[in-house]
Amino acid sequence: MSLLADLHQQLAQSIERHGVPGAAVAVWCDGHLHETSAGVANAHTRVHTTPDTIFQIGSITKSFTATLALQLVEQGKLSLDAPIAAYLPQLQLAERDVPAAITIRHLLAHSSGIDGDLLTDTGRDADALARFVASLGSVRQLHPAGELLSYCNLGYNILGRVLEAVSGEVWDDLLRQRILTPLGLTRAVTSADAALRHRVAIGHVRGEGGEPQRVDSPFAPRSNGPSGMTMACTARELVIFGRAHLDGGCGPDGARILSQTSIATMRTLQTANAYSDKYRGWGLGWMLFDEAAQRMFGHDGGACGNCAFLRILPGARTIVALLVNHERGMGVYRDLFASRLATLAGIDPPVQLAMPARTPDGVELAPYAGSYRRHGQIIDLELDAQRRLAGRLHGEYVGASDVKLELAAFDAKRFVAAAAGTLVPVHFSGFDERGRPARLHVTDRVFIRHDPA
Amino acid sequence: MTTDSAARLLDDLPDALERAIAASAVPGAVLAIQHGEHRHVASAGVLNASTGVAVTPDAIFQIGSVTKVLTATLVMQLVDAGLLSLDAPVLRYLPQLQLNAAPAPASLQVRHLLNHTSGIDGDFFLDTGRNDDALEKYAAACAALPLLAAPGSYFSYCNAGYAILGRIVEVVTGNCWDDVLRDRLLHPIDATESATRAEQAVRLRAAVGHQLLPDGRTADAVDRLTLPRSLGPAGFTLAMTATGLLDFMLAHFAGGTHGEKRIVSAESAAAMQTPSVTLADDTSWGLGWKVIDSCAARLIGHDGGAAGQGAFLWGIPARKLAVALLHNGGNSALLQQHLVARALRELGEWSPIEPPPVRSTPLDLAAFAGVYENIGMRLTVRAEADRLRVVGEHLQIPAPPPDFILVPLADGRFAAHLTPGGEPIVVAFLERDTHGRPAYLSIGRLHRRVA
Repeated sequence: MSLLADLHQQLAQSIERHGVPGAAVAVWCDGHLHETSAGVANAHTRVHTTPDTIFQIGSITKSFTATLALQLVEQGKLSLDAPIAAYLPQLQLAERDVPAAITIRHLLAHSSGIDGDLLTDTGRDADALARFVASLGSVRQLHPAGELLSYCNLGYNILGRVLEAVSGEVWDDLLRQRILTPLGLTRAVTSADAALRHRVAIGHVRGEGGEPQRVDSPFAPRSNGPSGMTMACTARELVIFGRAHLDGGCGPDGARILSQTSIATMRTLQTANAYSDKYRGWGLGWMLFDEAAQRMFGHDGGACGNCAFLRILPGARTIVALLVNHERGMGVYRDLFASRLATLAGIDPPVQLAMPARTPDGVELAPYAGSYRRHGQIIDLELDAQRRLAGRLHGEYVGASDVKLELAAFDAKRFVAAAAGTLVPVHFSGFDERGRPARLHVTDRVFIRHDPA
Repeated sequence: MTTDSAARLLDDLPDALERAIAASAVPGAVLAIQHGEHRHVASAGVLNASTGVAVTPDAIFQIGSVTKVLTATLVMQLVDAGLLSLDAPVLRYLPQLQLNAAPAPASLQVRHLLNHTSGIDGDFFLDTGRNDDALEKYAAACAALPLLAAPGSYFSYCNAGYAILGRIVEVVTGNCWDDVLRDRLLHPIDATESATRAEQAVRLRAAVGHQLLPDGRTADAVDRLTLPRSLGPAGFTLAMTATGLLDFMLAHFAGGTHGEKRIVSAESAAAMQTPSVTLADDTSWGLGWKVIDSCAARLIGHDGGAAGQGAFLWGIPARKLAVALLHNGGNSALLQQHLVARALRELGEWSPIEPPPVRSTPLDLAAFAGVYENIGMRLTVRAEADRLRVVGEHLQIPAPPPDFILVPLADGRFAAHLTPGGEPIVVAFLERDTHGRPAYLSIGRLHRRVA
């Protein structure tokens, strides 16, 4: 079925089905832009969405930050394989030698091993990133750089500070001068102050009765701007950015933001994804759905109660941007695009996960019980009365109530977890002689097992 | 007759508002009127000319200097709680405070900041960032400010004084002004649709200010939609609804109560509405409120403007009449005439103070000529045949230079014709020496003669 057939009606029905306040879509195909929107930008004010509505794009911001990094590489101000210590000599992490062992490339490709989520608010002034990076003295590395995939927001914020240090410009200004203005993205913003000028969508979370509830703190903290907490734009503007990457680095008016070589570098597989079937791995700032990134690449975003999706299909010369102002926007992406884009791109359709009926022969669940941790999030697993592997996700970044988990095994490494009504792939690695895993991998993140002393 | 015209305004409020914004090139506005037990609210136009989102009664607009009355109310709450004394030296609460490159004078009292008699040269618009230490940094930077006159001697409208009051609120409560304002005032009066930070404003139906072009038309949104937090307590950051403002004023009418809740003591509410200093035009200031006693009644209120938006909040306590008007650009003086002045006249039987008659005998004007200034404005006064011509220059903000005439009045004061066709305001030269040369020109603020 065509991407465009009944697009508006399907979008309207999908947001209704998922209890989502509003969404906007832009599709570029056959050389034309098609855009539509549905619902409201804000469940409280009931202001309608239009194709001009800006939404927070969350981590899709990382593709912009990565583009800035490659621009500075082209100018000779930055080297992908130089250690971050070369640019931020004052940087201190918990382990002294780590800043000299992590390269810019590791940060861009989510393989630095830095414990990747830290939402410290260092204020709204232009020194927010500098102050943030000066506050990382207790941040640990979860695995040696380059060895594993572990999605790392913190790395992109450090990278944002590196870009500031080598350019002498604040990240927000760099972004505006070097990408937004050349591409004519006049509605894109990186602060609530600037967002006030536009029809702005506010993110929502599920309230206690299931109703959408506006988030309290949109566009914050600024310390996490380069990884995705402050940027907003229209779906159309994401498509324009995507076109620059599709068309060899040039924007609609021919303005070049990146060389062909850098465009190709960003799409070269750097870190393979061994932990889910969702995508093959990371380039520099791009999620690759086939190893050559010829069929489909893109990025997802989730910040402050919004979900965002950008997909670029080089072979099909198609780009899709979907922006949703609810934390559960994934359902809308599935309804409208997940299967269709796979078909159009010629990649495997998304896997329908199911809980296996029984534990496979030879898999003993007891060794998996334990406490798996990263900053702000803890997964405690134990065998329940029915000898099933179950437990909870909790911690500072999890929300008011714990998330109950129930795990089932496909084999010794691959599991699936039922959590809050959805199924997510879980992976274990680093087994000891007693079969106990050292690490749990879920949603691209690494959790390290902590056994009581 | 009064009853007839009153009925017309209220029966026709939405239409009157539509016509008034059209006549004043105002993009959008909300008008809320409390008349006895009845409340009337109308909204018209758009929040933002480029998005076209409609203004609704729950829209928030920046209220500018009306914020000063809210800051004053916070101060009075702390006085009620025994945490602050109006007659105490400001130095008791801010021991580090410097003015004029020296420790602040011990004679400077909290009261002087509330009624604009501190003498601080106060149009000081330093941006100290968007963090919670913005007021602390601003108060420290006030060390550079001159004193125009000894504390307590003259009225001179003072923005810096209100920022310093905000800092006092922070020091006494241990919290930042924005949070104290929300917790101790906005939420207790149920004005939850309000914001002092853009992160809050984007969650609401927030208006943006618009540029007024020289030809009288209104253009797109202003370049700077938000102003520095350093002057938040003086009016740079707070946005509210018209009904929120009305509820705030009604709490002051009701002896400091909002429903069952006490907002401020009856004594403090009364003190805020009682004249404590008289201005050159015979109007006066209470503590926070401007107070105008005419033969008709006592009127209290405040005007505000910030980032291309503005507010008028005026009321006659004795008649339980309160009017709140919010707008996002255009000719605000004209809008005020169409709506606020009309509501006060028709519903409140209000009439302004009669200015003195124009002087009929010749006066030697040469002694008044000279250059008068404060840190925000330089006024050059030249004598013409039977009047003075004043040409101004803004020293802090980019704005068109004022150019107006002063017409001598019978009692020695002057009528300043600030806007062509507008009502003149009464101004005065103060402290004339033996040659008749004045030390000050008082037009809202003191301007000290420098040449």
